[in-house]
Amino acid sequence: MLFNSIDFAIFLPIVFVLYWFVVNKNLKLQNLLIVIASYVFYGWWDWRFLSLILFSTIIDYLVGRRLKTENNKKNRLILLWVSILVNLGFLGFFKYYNFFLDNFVSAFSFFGTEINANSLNIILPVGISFYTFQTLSYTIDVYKRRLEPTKDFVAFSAFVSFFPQLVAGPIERATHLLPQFYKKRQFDYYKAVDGMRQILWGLFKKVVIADNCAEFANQIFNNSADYSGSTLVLGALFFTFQIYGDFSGYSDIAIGTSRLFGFDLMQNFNFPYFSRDIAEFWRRWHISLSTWFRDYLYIPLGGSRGGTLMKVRNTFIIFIVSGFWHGANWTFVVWGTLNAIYFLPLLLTKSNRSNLNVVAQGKILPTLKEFALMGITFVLTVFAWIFFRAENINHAFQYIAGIFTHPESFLAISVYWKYKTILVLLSIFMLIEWVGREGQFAIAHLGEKWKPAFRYAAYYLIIIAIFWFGGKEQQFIYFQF
Amino acid sequence: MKRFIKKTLFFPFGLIILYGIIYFCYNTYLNNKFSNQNAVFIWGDSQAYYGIDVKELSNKLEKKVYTSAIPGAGIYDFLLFTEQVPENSEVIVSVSKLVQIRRKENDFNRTGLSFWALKKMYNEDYSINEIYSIIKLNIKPKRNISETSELFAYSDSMEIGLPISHFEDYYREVPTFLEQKQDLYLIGIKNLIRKNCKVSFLELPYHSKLVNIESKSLIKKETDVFKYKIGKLFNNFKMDTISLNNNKNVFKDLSHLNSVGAKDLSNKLGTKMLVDEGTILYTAQ
Repeated sequence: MLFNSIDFAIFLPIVFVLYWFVVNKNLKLQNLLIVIASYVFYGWWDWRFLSLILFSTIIDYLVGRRLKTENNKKNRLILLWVSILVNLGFLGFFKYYNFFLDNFVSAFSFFGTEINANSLNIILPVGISFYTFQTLSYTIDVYKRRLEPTKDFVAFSAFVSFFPQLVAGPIERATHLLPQFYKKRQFDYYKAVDGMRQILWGLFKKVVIADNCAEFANQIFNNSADYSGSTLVLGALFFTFQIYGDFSGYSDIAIGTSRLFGFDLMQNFNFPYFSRDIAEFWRRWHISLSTWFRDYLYIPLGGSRGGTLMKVRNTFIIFIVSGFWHGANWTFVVWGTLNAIYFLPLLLTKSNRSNLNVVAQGKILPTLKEFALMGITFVLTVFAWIFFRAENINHAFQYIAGIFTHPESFLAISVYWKYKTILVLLSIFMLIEWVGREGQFAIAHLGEKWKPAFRYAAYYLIIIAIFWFGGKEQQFIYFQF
Repeated sequence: MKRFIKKTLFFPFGLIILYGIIYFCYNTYLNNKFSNQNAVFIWGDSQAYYGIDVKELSNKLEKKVYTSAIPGAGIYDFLLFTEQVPENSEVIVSVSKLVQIRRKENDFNRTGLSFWALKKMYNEDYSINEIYSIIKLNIKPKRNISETSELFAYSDSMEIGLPISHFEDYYREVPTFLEQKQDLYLIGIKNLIRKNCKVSFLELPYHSKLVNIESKSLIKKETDVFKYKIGKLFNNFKMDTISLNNNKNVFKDLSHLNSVGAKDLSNKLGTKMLVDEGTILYTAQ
């Protein structure tokens, strides 16, 4: 079920009413309702994949229970590996089987040995990378004794399958989300209103920004050989905003929806395109994944504790794995590597934590230096996105080469005029994001001090913009990851 | 909780009011040419869109001529057009057979929101789903009127645009919705009569290959009866023919005129309209 569909518009109020009016007296029933609703939500795509979630849930629940009573170090480690192998086994099979097989066959073929191996026609279960990482966080935290394993199977199932963030995050830590299922939820008016506001902004980002940008980005990337350099730059720019609007829009809707049910999810995006360096960008982009890799991969590998060489190695590992997490294609690996290369100078000069605060905090405009730094970081990010979006490495290089052909096209106003509506929308969008960059999301504090009529008018205008400027409905990009 | 539910339920009312105001203002701005009292307004589908040279017709009639013709125009678009034209104006309606027999889901249906038109369609057994999909297409106002036309460049020979089989499919059997569409067409025409408009009907020509298919089809009888029904709505209804110049190729493809054909047709149509009285169905050949 897509967040921007009629199905979800009907589904959400039904679950909301049942949750707060029918089963509100009983916490167990509330959790059970969340499990049922989540399974309906997920099964709407393909009910067959519900078995995967259920199986993961049972395995991790049982592993957690055994870890509670098991004190033998070796046995505990075996239990942990059972969970890791089961979860990553599913992920590996559904997401990476064909990739590894094809590369294996190509490698042998390179050395003159032909191998006959047939690729399987595997459908990737929606959001498998997200819930796999979420359940893994539970087992690892229980293993590390950072979290008491749960006895409550229903609460645990609800934690694994919680529908607002099931298919595209934020990837919640068990230590943060699971305890919320144990506590009685009280309806909080301000939290719910804030949630509605975040849903509205998420829809705007998805429907107006991402879907419109997607149409142009797809057109330009799919026919990149036919376009001049300036259009190719615009194509990369459109994809940059498409992926941001799409993914952060989804996260906003997920967080907003959770608030309606009395839950707090972690912030997943924090205005990443206003970052002054690439380290700051990664502290603001897909925060739940970056911190997951930091906590469960980077730190166990030694983090930044060792010598320079170790730090460099760990940085490359985390970025390459992060790239690979996004999909079974070398383009993602190159994208990850490129980000590691961007990160390296900051790491080596120990300046990777120099921009921790909000840019131009309390000011209307940034300084010239801040503006230049944001511009450079943005250009680097846009360049990396070309690899992320390209069909394959060759395509990415052809695309980049195409940018530098016909440089005179950069002066042709007609090129930009063709995309005037979306360019105006993007400018307005970035302006709103800039003004609201100190909040959790851009319109979190919109019109706080205004009269209600003006505040409501602003919300209505956003809704009208969604109706009028909404692009052709597109699948959320991150579902495929 | 009560406060939240109350506000959530009341929220859409404000939205509807504000949306209605903005929609009305923007729509009026986009289509303000409809307020011109002393102009000629054209409605039709792609045949009229490409087949009438608005400038030529305007010069001939010495009046402003506006066209609301649009490729794929459907019955909903026609109903909306009849609502928008001012009272006592002069109107040219292209009675396209393809508008009548085109599959409902292929109709353009995108010229604005009108509850009157939607209600009429609902009364004529358009399903809720069909109505809903029309509403969805019209959430944003659109300019439905223009004083220029887009003509196909002249070429010595006709291109085969859509293959002949496409039209054979269309004419194979009488569509179940034909009468439904024709009834709605009549409702629109009655609306023009109520507004005291001077209506001229225009049947644009098809290439002889298409005429052949049509003449063998059962649909021909239905569309002829329909013309008769239109005639019955008027006191002084006549039929006339416009013969296009045969010296040059006038067709772009099987169903559309090229710029030479459009200019010739518009010139001759204008000449006739200047002298003719009453309601006339012009059939161009």
